[in-house]
Amino acid sequence: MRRTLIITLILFTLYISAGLETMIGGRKSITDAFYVTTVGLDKAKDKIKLTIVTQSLGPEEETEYTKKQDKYFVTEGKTIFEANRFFTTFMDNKIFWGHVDYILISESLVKNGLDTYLDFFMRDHETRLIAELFIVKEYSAEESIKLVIDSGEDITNTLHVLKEDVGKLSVSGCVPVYEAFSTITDENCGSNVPLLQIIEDEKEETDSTDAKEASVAEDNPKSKRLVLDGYALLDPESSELVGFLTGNDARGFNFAINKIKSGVIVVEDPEGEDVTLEIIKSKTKIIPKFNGDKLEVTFKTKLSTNIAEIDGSTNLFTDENIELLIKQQNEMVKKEVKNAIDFALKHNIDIFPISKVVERKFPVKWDKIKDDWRKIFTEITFNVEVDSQIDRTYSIKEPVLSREDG
Amino acid sequence: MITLSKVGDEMKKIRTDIINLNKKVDLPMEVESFKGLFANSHDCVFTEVMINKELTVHLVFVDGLANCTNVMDFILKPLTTLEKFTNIKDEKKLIDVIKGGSLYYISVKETNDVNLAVELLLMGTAVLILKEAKIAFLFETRGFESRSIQVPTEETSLKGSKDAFVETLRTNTAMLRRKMRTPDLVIEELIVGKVSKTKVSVSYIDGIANDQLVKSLRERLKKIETDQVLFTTVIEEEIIDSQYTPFPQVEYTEKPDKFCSALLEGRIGIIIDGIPFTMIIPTSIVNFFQTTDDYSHNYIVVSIIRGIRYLLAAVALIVPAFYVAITSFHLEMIPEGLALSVISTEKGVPFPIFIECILLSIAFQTLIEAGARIWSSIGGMVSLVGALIVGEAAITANFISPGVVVVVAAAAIANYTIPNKDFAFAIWIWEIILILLSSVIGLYGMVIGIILLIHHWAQMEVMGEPYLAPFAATDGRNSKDAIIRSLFVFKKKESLDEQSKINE
Amino acid sequence: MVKNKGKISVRQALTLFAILTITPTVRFAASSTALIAKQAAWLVPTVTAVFLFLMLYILNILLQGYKNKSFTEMIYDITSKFWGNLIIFLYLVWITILIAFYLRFYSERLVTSIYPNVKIDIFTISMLILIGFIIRNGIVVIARMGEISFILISIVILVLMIFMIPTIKINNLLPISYLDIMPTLKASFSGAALFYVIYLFFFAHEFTHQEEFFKYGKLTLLFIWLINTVIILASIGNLGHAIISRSPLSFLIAVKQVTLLGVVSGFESILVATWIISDFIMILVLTYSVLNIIKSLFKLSSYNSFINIFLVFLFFISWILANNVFELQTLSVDVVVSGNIIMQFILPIIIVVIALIRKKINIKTN
Repeated sequence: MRRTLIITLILFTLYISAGLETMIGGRKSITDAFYVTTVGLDKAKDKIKLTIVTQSLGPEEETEYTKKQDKYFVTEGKTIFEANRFFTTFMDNKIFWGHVDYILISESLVKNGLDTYLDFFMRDHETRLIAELFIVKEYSAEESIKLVIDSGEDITNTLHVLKEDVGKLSVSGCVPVYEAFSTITDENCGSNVPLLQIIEDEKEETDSTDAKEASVAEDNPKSKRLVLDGYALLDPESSELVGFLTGNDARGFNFAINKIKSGVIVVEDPEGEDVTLEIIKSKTKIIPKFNGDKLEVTFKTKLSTNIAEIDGSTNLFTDENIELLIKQQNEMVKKEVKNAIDFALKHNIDIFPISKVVERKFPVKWDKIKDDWRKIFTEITFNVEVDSQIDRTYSIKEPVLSREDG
Repeated sequence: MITLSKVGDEMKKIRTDIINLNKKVDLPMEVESFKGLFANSHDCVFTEVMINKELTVHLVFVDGLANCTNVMDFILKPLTTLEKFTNIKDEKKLIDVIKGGSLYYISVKETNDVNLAVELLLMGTAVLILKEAKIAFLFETRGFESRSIQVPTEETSLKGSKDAFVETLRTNTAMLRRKMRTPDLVIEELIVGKVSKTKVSVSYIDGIANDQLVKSLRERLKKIETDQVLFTTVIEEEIIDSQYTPFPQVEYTEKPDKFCSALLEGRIGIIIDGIPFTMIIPTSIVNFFQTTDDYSHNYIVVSIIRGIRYLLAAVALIVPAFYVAITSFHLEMIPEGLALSVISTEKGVPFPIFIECILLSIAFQTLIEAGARIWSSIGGMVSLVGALIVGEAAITANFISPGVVVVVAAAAIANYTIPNKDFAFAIWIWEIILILLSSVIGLYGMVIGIILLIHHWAQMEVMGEPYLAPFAATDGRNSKDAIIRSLFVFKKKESLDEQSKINE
Repeated sequence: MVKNKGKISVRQALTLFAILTITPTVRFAASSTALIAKQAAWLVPTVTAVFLFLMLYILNILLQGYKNKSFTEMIYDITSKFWGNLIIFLYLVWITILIAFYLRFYSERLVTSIYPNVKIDIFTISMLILIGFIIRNGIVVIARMGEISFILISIVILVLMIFMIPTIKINNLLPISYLDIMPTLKASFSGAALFYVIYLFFFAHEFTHQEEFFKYGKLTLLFIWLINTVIILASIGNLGHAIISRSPLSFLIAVKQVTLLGVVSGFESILVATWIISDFIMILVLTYSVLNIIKSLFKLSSYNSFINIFLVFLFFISWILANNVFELQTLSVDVVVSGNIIMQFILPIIIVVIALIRKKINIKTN
């Protein structure tokens, strides 16, 4: 018995090493894998153009620390899956989708709705639902990927930095696949996807600050760069692209949906010089109220800022002056939020989504009105209330320009 | 010469009879019988003692086993010099005088059985043979060279007692008695081994140890049919239930304090004459994760360290197999950064990862084996050469990737933290099995391996006690000391309660 | 020394029951409840727990009435020979189908989640071989394996939960209003199918400490309730009910999103590992019940000769059940849930009621 057992074990081991692999299959060697980190989707006539960026390693044994280097490949196919399979015709490694971090979709593709393209990323067993979605304005996804890679940068890393720093200005956000999916499946609320823009630098100074900058080829005066700014808003039912909110309007939207991390508000002191305020904390409550059948929604924003820069010479730290700054600040935020609301009303999409708030607050009433939500939405009276305060400033109190006698 | 060889031939036959059938020899009690039995043994001393002109007796003892000074001073000298003896004319009188205690020896036995005489002779007894009466007196003159009590070599202890068991059974039992002065400490003795006739002692504390257990152990020991008990496995393999397992089922210790505390837990100890390691049964998996030092350190520290030991054992068991599984089947489960470094290290290495893992794992074991076998004078070479070969050259030559070295080395080092080395070896074997299984079908294979291991443990029993106790099959009893060592005060109270429960 | 050789304690049996519920919980608790009860799905286990409590109470009466008797013997004693045979035969057929169903589902799940390129037979066959090998050791070994697996599985789920809690969004779990009462009750039916405890009664004659059944039963109930609630909370709280209700492997998808400190990910591998273990224990225990039924139905002295035949039989049934995974899911929703309710909830209650009417047992719990 024992001898048979031992012999069987030895034979079994030999069998494994000899050729069980072909029988079972499914084994893939890690050295053959190409890790797709960023995906671009574009429209090419009636097909889909798929761009994948893989992070592979630099030339072998050049340095002790192998350098990460991006490569990109492009195919076309009727569907994403088909396009994906076409890669196998010319690539020397297996494509592995398990680490897709960013999905870029061109504007032209989303015009017909986003939902159809999400299916692949939801269904595939390798992909993760935490991959982030971006819509590229005007340009194609391929172009934007090309732009970054050709300038010698790492696209995935670039996007990563953009995403990390999005809170500095709060003019955009990040939406992972699963979040986009749950808003798309909800028939009453519109979805938002962060917007990537390619900006051409024509003159030396631009409005955008450093945080927005992705990559600039320094000696080229007319260089392009990738900027994460604003949102693309999608229709609730068809998930078609409706419009964009950019710049401060997008920040207004962020105020409304309570996604502000930080940001800059520039106001004026009594003498008309600029005072820069840094947003420290912001919290918005959406309060729905029924007046009979009429819905009234109040956005109540609580904001606190710090004084980050004073360009003038007036001493601002008096009650009236602070009050003045606060007033301006309130107006500014109010305006931004109102802009976002106007956008929503113009396109009749519930982008905030107020439907969710109503559902949470009045679940019973919601059950009756949910089918007419789009009609009700247009009739809502919106109020915006901003309650802000200025907390503190930093290392120096008086402005630099203030005179001793002043 | 001819006669002697003839006698030798006969005796050889008788000797083989004794060995094979454990048959009693039927020889008359006279010095010729002994001479025949020990014909070619030069350490057996036959002395003819002339008490006076008419009376001659024979003294037989084994040089080295019997204490020569004692034999001379207390047997030869009185017999030949004391008037009491020199005046005796016949053997009958002599017997009476010896029985009367004139030879000042405490332990004197009278017999006409050659078998008994031979048996005791080989334990260091001096045999005084009276030719005509055909009887012999046996004097307890035992006194051989033995190692003195020393510091334990394998189980070092920081705060515990520093004495260790030695080869002599009696010294060992004396050590036990010194530590536990209670009549409840029972030290039974059996003789095992047809040829070696080794004394095996079974110790337990009456009232705490389970009677059934003691009885069953006694029966198992009595049933042993073997020629010798020179190694512990001779006994071990006879008393355990599951033979087909690499896992140890008997706990060994060379420390009397550990032995005694085991007895107090209701377990049974076995001491074999000639082996400085004692056995403790029954055991369960937790015993192999405890050390004596656990009870001489702070209980919080010890509890954490014990937890880490279990964790490390799991690491040693699973990590290489897991690495093989995720790098060759489940690429989606490797974090991105790690995946890239694995790829970069794996480039250019000709073998698949699981072959690398197995090769390296065997290489580590080779180092251990080499270190254990090599002469101590050049022992330092092993680590030097081993580190150079495994660590440096193999990687530079692209034979093995650094990633695999890290994983297997981590597993190996984790393996060394298991206090019981037998258990550590068994874990290593299962580590290889898991690597093989996961190389066939990834994580699934690995889990199947784990299920098989759990099953293997679950069906094991040591003297009827489940091997997985107290994690399984005990309804949570005794689990207090498994991972968390509670304060001694509480433990003492509990253990008394438990024991009374067991005895109910 | 173990006093009752060849027997397991009631606590061990209930541990097995707890593992038995983990497999279906992880597989479909979140998605099936999210489908009906939407964001209120996390309340469903509480409703289910009430039913389960009732069930345990009733079974306790039965068990205290018949000490050291298996469920088949109880049925024979309570009903007549003919009806007894019929009921037992029904159970035999049903549990066999259930095992085949789980066997198939387990393989399908592996193929859809982590082994897309591997032939499905390999998983089915290797599992059956493993079961054929281990089941011969009897219930004692099974129970011990169950205990160890229970510890492992609990630790894994606990740790995963701790990782998932920070990302739970409360908004996904609200609102709760009286409108959710009906869906919650409706969804609890799928949860009521988890009462596999009755199948353990087919080897109730191998239990010791039967008087502790209710005491440990309540603890098990607490555990099951907790695991169910927590799994649903974590799944829906992280991804929202829209995704969860669409996904056949809801909990896996939720776990897939877990990243620790933004670096360490891939925890689903650990979850998959516990899946396999819990599936294995489940199929093992149910097979053991069936073998016990066969033994007493055909009055055999030992079922050992039946093991191999039965396992081969299982393999074929698991393939006859459904052509593809979609049919299997339909089967799960349409047939298995309602069948489970009848076989695991209604029928045992009827039996106990008959026993009470015939005064075979009386309500006297300790």
